[in-house]
Amino acid sequence: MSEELVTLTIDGVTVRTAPGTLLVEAAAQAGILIPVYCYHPKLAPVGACRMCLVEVEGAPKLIASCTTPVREGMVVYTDNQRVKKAREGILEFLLVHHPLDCPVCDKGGECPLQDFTYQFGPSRSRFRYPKRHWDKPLQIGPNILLDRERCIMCFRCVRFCEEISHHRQLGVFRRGNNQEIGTFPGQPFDSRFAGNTIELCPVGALTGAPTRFFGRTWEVGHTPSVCTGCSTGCNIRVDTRHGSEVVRLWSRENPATDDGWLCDPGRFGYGFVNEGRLEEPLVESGGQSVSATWQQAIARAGAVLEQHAKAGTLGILASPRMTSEELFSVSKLARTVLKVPHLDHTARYVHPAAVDLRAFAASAGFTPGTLRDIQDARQIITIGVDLSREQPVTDLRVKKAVTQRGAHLVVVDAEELELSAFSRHTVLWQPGDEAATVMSLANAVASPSEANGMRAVGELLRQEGPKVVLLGWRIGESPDAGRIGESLAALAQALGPGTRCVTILRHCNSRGALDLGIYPAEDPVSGRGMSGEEMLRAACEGRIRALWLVGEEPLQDADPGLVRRAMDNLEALVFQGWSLPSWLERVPDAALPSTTFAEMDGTFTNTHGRVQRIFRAIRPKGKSRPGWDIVNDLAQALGHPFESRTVEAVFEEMCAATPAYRGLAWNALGVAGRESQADSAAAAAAAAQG
Amino acid sequence: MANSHDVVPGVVFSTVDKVARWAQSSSLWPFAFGLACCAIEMMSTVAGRFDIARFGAEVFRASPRQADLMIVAGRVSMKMGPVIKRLYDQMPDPKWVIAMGACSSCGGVFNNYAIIQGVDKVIPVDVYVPGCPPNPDALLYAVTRLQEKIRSGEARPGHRILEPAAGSLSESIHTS
Amino acid sequence: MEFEQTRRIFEKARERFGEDVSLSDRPNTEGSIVVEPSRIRDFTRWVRDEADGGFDFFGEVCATDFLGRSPRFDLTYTVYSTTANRHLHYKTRVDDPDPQVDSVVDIYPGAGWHEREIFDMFGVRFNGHPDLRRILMPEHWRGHPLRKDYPLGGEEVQFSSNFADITPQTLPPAPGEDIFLGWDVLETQPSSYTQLLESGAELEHDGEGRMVINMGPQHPSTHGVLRLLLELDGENVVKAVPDIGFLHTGIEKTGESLNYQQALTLTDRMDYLSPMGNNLAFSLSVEKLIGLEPPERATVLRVIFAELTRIQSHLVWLGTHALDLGAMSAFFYCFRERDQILDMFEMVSGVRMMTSYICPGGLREDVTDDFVPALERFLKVFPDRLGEYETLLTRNPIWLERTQGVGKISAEDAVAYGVSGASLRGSGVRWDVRKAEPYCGYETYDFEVPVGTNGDVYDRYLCRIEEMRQSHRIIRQALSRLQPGPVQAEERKVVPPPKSEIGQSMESLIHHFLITTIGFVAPPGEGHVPTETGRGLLSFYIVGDGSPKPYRMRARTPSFANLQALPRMLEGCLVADAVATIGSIDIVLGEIDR
Repeated sequence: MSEELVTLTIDGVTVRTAPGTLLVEAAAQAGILIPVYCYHPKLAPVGACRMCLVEVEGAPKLIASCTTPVREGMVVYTDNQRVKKAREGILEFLLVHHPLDCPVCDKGGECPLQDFTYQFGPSRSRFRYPKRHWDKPLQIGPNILLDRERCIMCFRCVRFCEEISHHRQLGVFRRGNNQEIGTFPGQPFDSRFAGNTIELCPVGALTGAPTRFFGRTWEVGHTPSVCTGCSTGCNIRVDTRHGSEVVRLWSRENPATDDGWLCDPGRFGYGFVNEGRLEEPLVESGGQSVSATWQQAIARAGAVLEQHAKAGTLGILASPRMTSEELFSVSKLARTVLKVPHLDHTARYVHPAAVDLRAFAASAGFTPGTLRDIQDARQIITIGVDLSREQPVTDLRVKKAVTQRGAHLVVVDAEELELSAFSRHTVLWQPGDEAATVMSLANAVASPSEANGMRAVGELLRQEGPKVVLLGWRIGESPDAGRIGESLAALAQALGPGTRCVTILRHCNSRGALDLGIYPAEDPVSGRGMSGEEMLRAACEGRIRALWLVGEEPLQDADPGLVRRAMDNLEALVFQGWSLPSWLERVPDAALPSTTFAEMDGTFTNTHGRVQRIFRAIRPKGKSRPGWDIVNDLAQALGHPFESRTVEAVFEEMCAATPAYRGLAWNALGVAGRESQADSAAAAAAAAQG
Repeated sequence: MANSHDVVPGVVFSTVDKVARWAQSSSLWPFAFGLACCAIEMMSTVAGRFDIARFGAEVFRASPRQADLMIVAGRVSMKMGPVIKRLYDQMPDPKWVIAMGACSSCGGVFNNYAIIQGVDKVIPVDVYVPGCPPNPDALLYAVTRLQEKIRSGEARPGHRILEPAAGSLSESIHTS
Repeated sequence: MEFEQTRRIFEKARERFGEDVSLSDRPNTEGSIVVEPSRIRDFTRWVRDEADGGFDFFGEVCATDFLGRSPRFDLTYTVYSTTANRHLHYKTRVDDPDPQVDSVVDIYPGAGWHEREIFDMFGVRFNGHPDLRRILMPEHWRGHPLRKDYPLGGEEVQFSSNFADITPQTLPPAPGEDIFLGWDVLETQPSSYTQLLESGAELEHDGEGRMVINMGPQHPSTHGVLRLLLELDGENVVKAVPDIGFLHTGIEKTGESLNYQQALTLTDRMDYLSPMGNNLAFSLSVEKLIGLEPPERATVLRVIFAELTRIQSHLVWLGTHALDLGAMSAFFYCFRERDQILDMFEMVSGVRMMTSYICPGGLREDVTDDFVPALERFLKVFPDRLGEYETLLTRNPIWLERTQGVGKISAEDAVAYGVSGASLRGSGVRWDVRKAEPYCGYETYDFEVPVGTNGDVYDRYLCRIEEMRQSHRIIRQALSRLQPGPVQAEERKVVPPPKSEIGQSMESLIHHFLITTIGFVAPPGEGHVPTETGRGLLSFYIVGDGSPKPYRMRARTPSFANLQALPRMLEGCLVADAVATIGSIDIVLGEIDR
C-alpha cells in the first residue's frame, strides 16, 4: 500500500498521499490552508479563480493547486513572497468591481471573499475609477436572486447545474469585463436544486428569495437538525434568530443520507414553523372554538377519548411527521390505556397489507439496504417511485451513480419519469397491471429465453455487480397489491441473493411509524384494527364516531370527498398538531397545540432506518408543547400516568420496547444518527407476515 | 398617613397626606452605599459642581436605619445580592430604590455567572437610570422623577418576583 | 525583558535543575522557563535568592486552562526584581484530574491570595497553603468559573421579538441559580464569618476579653464592598481578615468571550478610578502580542492621559481618605479639580469615566481642538490647588495625629507581599514601573519617584501628593512634545481604516467590516507588559490563540496584592486606625474582585 502513495513536500511538511490527489487537497491533509473560490470537493476542478496559485519548484510560473495532481518529489510553497504577491493581485482584481455591499449583503460575516481579503489580501485600494454597474438583483428563478456585480466568476453554480443536478439552466455569457452568469433567454432557474447554489456561492451573488435579509450572520444561532420534507432524512442546520424564529435551513453533510445537498422544497419549506401556528389550546363551546387552558383542553380531550374508546368507536390517525417519541407515546396510550385497535398513520393505501411497505419488501426476499448503497451499485432499479419528486436528494445520488460511475438504471413505472433520461431502460406498466409487469420483468431476468419484449432489460440486470431496488409506495396503491408480493418475490429471486432494497416512504418519519407499529395490527381481544382508509369509511357509516387526529398528514392524500363526509358524520374530534388544517371545517372538540421539529428534541427514522436526532432550536411558539408531553398529560387525565417524563426517558423506553431500536442510546446518536437494526426488524416483519 | 380603614378618606386626610408626601419627597436621605463605578459618579453628584443638596437629598447616611432612599450604584454580584436584600429590609418604611446604571438595572455588559441581572430580582426598584455610568445630571433627574412620584402618591411597585402580575409601575428615564 | 535574558537565566537553571526545566519560547513573548511541578518550590526559592541576582518581588501567579491539552493547566508565575529592574516568567503545568502543585506561599507570602484565587477559579490545589479556601466566589459555590468547560452563564436578553417569551419565571437557570439562594442565604447558609468563628482556624479567640466584629461589606470607609473581620482586644486589632469577592464581576471570563476591542471596554470597569490606565495596560499587552507599534503622537497622548488619570485617581483617594478621617472640605476641593479632568476625558472620548479611549493600535480618535487649551488651563491652576490641599492637611495636627505612625509596614514586608505603587514607596522602596521597566517612553521624561521612610499612612499620603506634582511635571513635558500626526498605527489588519475610505474602497470596507463585526485576529502567543497605575503594578497577561478573542485575559491588579498586606498593617492598630489604613492603601474593589 505504501508504495502506491506519493510523497511530496508542502511548505517543508512532508505529505504522503494517494496518486491523483489534487495539490489543494494534499495541502488540506497536511493542515495547510490554500484559499480557494472555484474549487469545491464535489465539483470537477476548473481553475477559474486563480486564488489557489502556489509555487512548485521547477515550474516556471505559479500553478493552480486545484487542478494540479500531486507528483512524486514535488516541492511546493504556499506562503512565500511570490505566492503572497499573487494572492494579493488576484484579490485586488476580484475587488475591483465588487460593489460596496458588505453592510447590506447576506453573506457579510461568513464570506470567503471577506475572509481571504483580510487574511491574504491588500488593505488599500489602488483602483480609483467608477465601478462597473449592473441592474440588481435579478430574480432568475422562483427562489433565486442574482446580483451580477458581486459575482467573482467561480462558476460553481454553473458547474453544479451541469454536473450535479443536470438541470442545465445556468450559463456563462459574454467575455472579459462583461462576463456574467445568467439563465438562457426566457428560461427561469427553477430547478428544484437551485437553492444549493446559494450555499455554493462564495460571495453574495446568489441569494434565496425566501431567506434574503434573514439577519446578520453573527447573530444567527445554528442548531443541527433533520429535514422534515420527505423521508430521505437530509441533515440540516437550522439557523435561528433570537431563539424564536427560524430564518434559514442549510445543508449539513451526512454521507449516509444526503451527500451534502438539499432540495428547494426542503430548504425553503420551513414556513410552517414561523407562520399560522396553533398557539394555544382550544375547546369547542357553543359551536365555536374558544381558547382554553391546557388543563381544560386535556380534560376535554381525555373525556372524548375515554368515552369513545370504551364504546369502541374511536379511531386514531397519527402523523408520520411527528418524532418517534411522540408516535411511541401515542401508540402506548392507544394500546395500553385506551385499548383501541384502530390506529394508523396514513389513510391512503387501498390494500391493507401494503401499509407496511417495508415488511412487504422484506417478505419478498430482498436484503434491506440503505441509501448509501446506491453509491456502490452497478444496477439500480426504481419501481413505482418518482425519486425526482419524492426524494429529490436521492435522485441526485442516482444521477451521480449513473453519470460518474456508469451505473445502469432501470425505471419501472406507469410513465416516463425525469430519471428515465438517465436510465438504460424504462419499463412501463398500465395502471392495474403492476404485478404482471413486475412478474414479466422477473421472468426476463430469470430466463434469457423468455422473449416478452424485455430481453434487453433482462440481459442488463443479469450482469454481475451490486444491485439496488428502490421500491415506491405506488405499487401499494395498486388494487392488486395483494398479488404484487409474489411478483416482487420472483424479482428478488431473479436478481439474486444480496440484492438490496430500499423502500421509499413518504414522510420524514414514516419509517418510524412503521417501526413503532402505528398501523392496524391483529389484536387477540378486539380483532383486527381498521386502517386509515377504513376508518374514514367507517366514520361515514357511523361505526367510528370519534377521531383523534394527530397532525393532518394522514389525511393529506385521502379522497377529499371521503374526508369531508367522514368529518361531517363524526360525533367528536380531537385535533393535535402545530396548525389547524385549512380543510378542517368542523370545530374540533379540543385542539392541542404541539411543537414542530424546530422546537423540540427527538428522533426521526429515515426511509432506510437511520435514527437521527433533532435538536431544539427555538422556544416553543405560544403554549405549544411536544406531543409526547401532551400524551403524558392525557395519560394522567385518563388515570394511567406514564413514567417517562423527559424526552430522553421516552426514547429509552421506546428503544427497549421496539426490536428495531434495541441497543440505541440517546447520547450515542450524536448529530449524525445511527442505523437501526434494520435486518432484525425486517426479519421480524417477515416472520410476522408468515 | 391615612391608613385607617374605618374612616372614609376625606379632605383633612388627603391634605395631610399631601403634606407628608411633600415632606418626604423634599428631604430624601440616601443611603451611603456604593458598589462600583456608579458610586464614584454618585459622589460627584454630591460634590460642589452638581450639588444634590439643591434637591434636598444630600444627607447621605451610613446606616440603613437612617435612610429612606437606596441608590444601588453599581453591579450586584451573586455574593452581594443577599447583603443588599438585608440592607433594604433594614431600612425603615417608607423607602425607595433607584437602580443607578446599566448593571443594577439589568446586568449591563456583564451578562455572566457572577452578576445578578438587575437588582430588581432582589429588591423592588422605583426608578431606573440608564448609563454606564449615568452622568451626575442623570442621577439628579432620577431624584427629581422620584420626588414627583412620591408627591403624586403613586403606588409602590410590586416585587417583581413575588408578585409578577402586579406589572411594573417603575419607569425608566432617558438622558440624551 | 528580552528573550536573551530569559535564556541566560534558563541556562543557569539548567546547570542546577537539569532536565526538570525547559525553555518555552512561544512566539512574540519574552520566553519563559517551564519547571516540573515537583521542583516548583526549589525553583522558586532559587529564583528568589539566586537567579541572576534574585527576584524579590512576587508579581503574580495566574492559571490558564488549555482544555483538551495534557497537561491541562498552565500556571504562570511572574516575579520582579525591585533592584535590578526586570521580571521573569516561569511556568509549571498540572493536569486533570485533581490538579495540584506545591504552594510557594512561605517563599513569597504575596502568593497567598493569588493561589487562593486559582484554587477558587480553576480548582487547582496548592499543597501546603495555610488557608486554601475560595476567595472571590461565595463559599458554597459549585464549579470553577474560569475553567473553559464552565459556561459563561447569564440570561437571555429580552428583545421586542422575544419579550413575551422571557419572563422572570421562565428564565433559564444560570449556573449559579441553585447556588444563589436569594435573600435568605444569610440566614440559611453558614457565612464565612460564622464558619470562621466556629472553626477558629483563622481567628484565635481565646475568650479572654476578645471579640470579633464585622466591618462591611457595607461600610462607608471600605470604599466599596470590602468586608473585614476584626478580632479585637479592647480597641486594639489583634487580627484582621479581609473577605472579598462581593463585587466579583466575571470580567476575565466575559473578556474571554468577547473580541479584543470589546474586552477593552471591560477594563474601564475594573479599576474605575483609572480607566485610561487600564486601557493602556491592556492595549500595551495586546500590542505586544501582535507586535504593533503605535505612532509617536499616540504615545505622547497616552502618557498625558495616563498621568491625568493618575491625578484624578489620587484626587478621589485624597478626597475620600480625608472624608473618612473627618475632613469634609478636602472632598469638595478634590472633586472640583477632578471634574476638570473628567471634562477633558469627556471632550476626547464622549464619556466622563468609561473612556475606552486608549485602544490597541493607538487612540480611538485624535483629541479635539479644545483639548490642549483645556489641558493648559488645568496645568496652570493645578499646582496652586495642590497647595490648597496641603494647607488643609499636611500640617494639620488632627491629620498628623490620625496618620503618623499608623498602619505601618516595613519595606521587606511590603516587597514580600507584593505591595506596589505609593503604598510600597511609602515604606521607602524606590520602585516604580515607569522607571524600572519603562513603557511609552517614560525613560525620556524627567521626573522623580518620591519615597517615604516610615511606611505609615502619613508617608503614603505624602508620596501620593508628591506623585501628583510629578505627574503634572510629566504632562508639561509631554505637552511640549506633542506634534501633529496620526494617532493610530498604520496596520490595517488591526486598526480599522478611516470611515471616509469605506465609501470608495472595497478593501477598506472589508477590513472595516471584519474588524468591527468579528474583530482583528491576534496570533497565538502571549503578551504581558507591566505598567504603573495610580495604585501600583498593573499588568495584563493575554494569551492569543489566533482568533479574534483572547484565549486568556488575566489582570494582575495592584489593589488585590496591596489589600493582602492590610492585615499586616493593621496588627496592633486601633479600630479607628483601620479606617485610616484602608484609605491609605487606596484600594478599588472593582479591580480586586474583577
